[in-house]
Amino acid sequence: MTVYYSMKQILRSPLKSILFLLLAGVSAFLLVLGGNLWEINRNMLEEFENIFMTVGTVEQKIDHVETAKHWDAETGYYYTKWGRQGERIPNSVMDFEGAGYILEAKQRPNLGALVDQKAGAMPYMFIIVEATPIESGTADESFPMRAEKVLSGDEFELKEGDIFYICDHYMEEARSFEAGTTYIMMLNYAGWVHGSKVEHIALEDYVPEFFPENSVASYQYTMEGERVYDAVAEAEEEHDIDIVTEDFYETERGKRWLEMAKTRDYLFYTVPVMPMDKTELLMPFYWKDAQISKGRDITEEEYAEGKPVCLISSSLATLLRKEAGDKLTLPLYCADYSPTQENAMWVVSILNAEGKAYPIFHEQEYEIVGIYTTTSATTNGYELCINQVIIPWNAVPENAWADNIAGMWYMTGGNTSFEIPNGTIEDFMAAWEKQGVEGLEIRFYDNGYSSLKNGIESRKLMAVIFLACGCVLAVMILCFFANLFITGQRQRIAVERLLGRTKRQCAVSILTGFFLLAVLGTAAGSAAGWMATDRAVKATEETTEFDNTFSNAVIAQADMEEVDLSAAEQKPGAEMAAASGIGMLLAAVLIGFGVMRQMLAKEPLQILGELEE
Amino acid sequence: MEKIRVENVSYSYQNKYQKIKAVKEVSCSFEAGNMYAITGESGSGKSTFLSLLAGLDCPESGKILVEGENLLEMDRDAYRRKQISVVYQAFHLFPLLNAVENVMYPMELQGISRREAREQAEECLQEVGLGKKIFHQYPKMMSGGEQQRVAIARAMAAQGRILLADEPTGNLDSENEEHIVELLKMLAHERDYLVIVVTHNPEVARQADVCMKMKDGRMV
Repeated sequence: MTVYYSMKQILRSPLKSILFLLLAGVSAFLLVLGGNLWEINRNMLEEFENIFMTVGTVEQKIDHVETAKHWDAETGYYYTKWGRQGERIPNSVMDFEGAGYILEAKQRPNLGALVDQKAGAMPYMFIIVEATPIESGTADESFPMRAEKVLSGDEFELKEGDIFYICDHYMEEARSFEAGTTYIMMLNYAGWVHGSKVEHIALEDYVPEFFPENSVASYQYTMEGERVYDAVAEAEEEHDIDIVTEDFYETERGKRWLEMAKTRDYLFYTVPVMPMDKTELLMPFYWKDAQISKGRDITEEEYAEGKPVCLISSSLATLLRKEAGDKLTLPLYCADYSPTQENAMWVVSILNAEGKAYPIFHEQEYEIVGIYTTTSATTNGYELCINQVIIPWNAVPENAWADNIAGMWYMTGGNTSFEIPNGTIEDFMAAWEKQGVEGLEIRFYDNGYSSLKNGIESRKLMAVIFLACGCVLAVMILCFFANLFITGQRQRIAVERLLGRTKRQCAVSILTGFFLLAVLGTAAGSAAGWMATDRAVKATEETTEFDNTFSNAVIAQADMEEVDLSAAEQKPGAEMAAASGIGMLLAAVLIGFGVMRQMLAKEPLQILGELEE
Repeated sequence: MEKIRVENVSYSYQNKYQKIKAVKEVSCSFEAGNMYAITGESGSGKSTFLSLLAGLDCPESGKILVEGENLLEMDRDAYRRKQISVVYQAFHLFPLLNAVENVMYPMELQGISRREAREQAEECLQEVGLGKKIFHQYPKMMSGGEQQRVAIARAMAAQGRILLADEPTGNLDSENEEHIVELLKMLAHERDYLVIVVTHNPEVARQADVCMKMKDGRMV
C-alpha cells in the first residue's frame, strides 16, 4: 500500500519527480567522480612517496680566489687560480631545529681498510731510497743519482745500483747535492728527463725523472678538524734532504723514515669504505649511475641496526674473487674526509702524530649482500672511489675513528648529504635561513617530485572541487526536494493523520517515494560517475605535464612489481562509488526525516487550517 | 445506547497573543442511531469541541468516555482509524488518489485486502449516489457535492460507527446540501451511526434528531 501510493504520488507529479531524479543523479555523479579522482590521486601520491626521495647535499662555497705563482724547471713561471673556502664550517651547523630530517646531514669520511689484494690507490711512484749523486751539483734539471739502498719500492721500478734522475722540478731554488754523501728521499714521478746532463738520452727512450720528497710529517686531525700537533713536522726543515749518517735511524726523523718504508705498501692494499645511512645518499646511486647488479641493497633495518653487511663494486669483487653472500673482513685503520683524487682515496701520510702508522681501530667480518656496477656519468666530486665499499654507518662504533683521521676537508656534495621528506624543501630552507649561516650551499635533488606533486595536487584540487560541488549540490537538492515533496503534501499528511495513521506510518508513507527517487537517482549517478572516472583519469593524464625527464626516469626505473603508478590502475573499486552513494542516501534519510519531523510536529487540524488560509 | 459521554470537559489553546478558553466545562452525551447538530456562532467553540471528540486534541480537564472508555487512555490513532470518521467542509480528500482509492484508503489502513477494499469502496460510492463514471476521477475533477459524497463514502468505509461532520454542507449548493443531509440521516437511522454535525446552517440543524447550541465555549 505504502509503495503503491508513493508510486502514485511520483507518477502524478512526473516533472518534479524527473527533475529530482536527474539532479540527484548529477549530485551522485559529481560525488563519485570527485571521490574517485581524489582517491586515485591520493594513492598515486602515496606511491610516489615510496619511490621518490628528496636528497640534499651540502657544500662549503668558495670564499675567495687565490692566484698562485709556480715554477717549472722546463718552462719557467706559470700561474694558477685556486678557489679557497676559507675557515672550515663544522658539520654540526647542519643540526638545527626545523630541519625535519629523515636522515641527518653527516659529513662522511672514507675509512681505509686493508685487504689482501692491491685494490687501493696506486701511487705510481712512491719509492723510498738512499742515494748518492754521481757528481756534486744542483738539481735544477735532471740530475743523476745512484740508488744505494731501496728501502721501499718495487724492484721493477728501482733497484740498488740503478742510476736515476731527480729534479727539483717545481722549486725555483733547486737544492744542491754533494758527491759522496748519502741522502734519503721519497721519489715521486715528475715526467721525463730534461736538461744538459741527459743530452745523450733520446726523448723516445722515455727515461723517467723523479722529484724528491722530504716530508715525514703527519697530517693527523681531530674530529673538530684541528691539526694534531706534530713536533717533528713542526721542526722539519722543509727544503733540506735528510743525510744518512751512521746513527741517523736512531733519530726521530730516521725512525719515521723506517716506519714509512715499512708501511709504504699500505696504500696499495687500502680500499675506501664509506659508512652510510642509506645507499641512495651517495649521488651515483641516487642518479642510478651506480646500480646493484648482483645480490641486493642494504635494507633500511640493516642500516638502522648497523648490521655487518656491505656492498662492494664489481671490480673489487673480481679482484678479491668475492660473490654476493661471501664474507669480507675489513680492518679499518684510518679515516679521510678529503675529496677523492682521480676516484681514489689518497691519504697524504699514513703516519700519525706520533710517527707511527695508524693502528687498526675497528675490524669485523661483513657479509657482502650486493655487488654494484657504476657508469662514469657521475662527476664533479660526487663520484664513487674505485673499489668503494659501502657499510652501514652504525656498523662502526660512534667516533671510533676519532684518533685515526688522516685527512680533513670541507663539507662537499660528495661527502655530506641528507634526506628530508618529499615536498618539504621550502620548509627546510625556511628553517635553514633562520640559522643565518653563511658560506654553505645546499642543493636538493628530488628527481622532479616537486613538479610532479604540483601536478597531482592540482588534480586533487580539481577532485576536491568536484567533491565539494557534489556535496553542496546534493545537500541543496535534497533540502529543496525534501521540502517540495513533504511540504507539498501537507494535506495528505494531515488527512492521513486524521484517518488514524500514526506519525511513523505517515512518515514512511510520505518518504517512501522521496527515497525511491533518491535511490534511483543516486544509483544511476554513482554508476555513471564510476564509469566516467576512466575517461576523466585519461583526460587528466593527457593534459598534465609530468614535466621532466628525471621523474619519468625514476618512474621508469622503479620496481613496477612493487609500485603501480598508472592512474588507470589506481582506479578505486566500486566500493568508492557505493560509499558515495550510500553517503548521499544517508543524507537523504537525515534531511527527509528532519523535514518530516517538523511537519509531524504540527497537529493535522493546524495543517489543514494553514492550508485553508 | 450511549456511545459518547462528555463530562465537564474544558479546553483552551494559545494563539499568538493570548490563551483562549475555547470549551468550558461541557457535559453531554451522544447515543448511536441519532443525528446531533451542534450549532453556534463562529468562535463559540463547536469545531474545537468536535476535534476533542475526534481525539485530535486532549481536554484540559474533564473526560470523554467512548463506550465507557476514557478517550485519553486510548490509543487515539487507533480510535480515529477504527471507531470514528470525520467529514469536513473542505472535504480533505487525497488529491492524488481517485474517488475509489480515496474510499479504499481507510480500509487498507485496517488491513483489508486491496481487492476486497475496492469492491466495498465501489459499493459505498454507489450508496452515496455516485455512479461509475466518478470512480476514477480525481478530486479536482469533481464538483463540491461529489467530493463531499466521496468523503462520506470514505467515512462509511472506515467502518467506525461514529461520524463527525464539521460544516459538511458549507461549500455546497442547496440541492447537494439536501443530499448530504439525507445521507447523514440515513447513516444514523438505518445504519445505527452516531452522527454529530457541527453547522451554522439552521436547515441542517432542523433536520437533526437533537440540536445543541454552544455559546462562548459552553453548551447552552
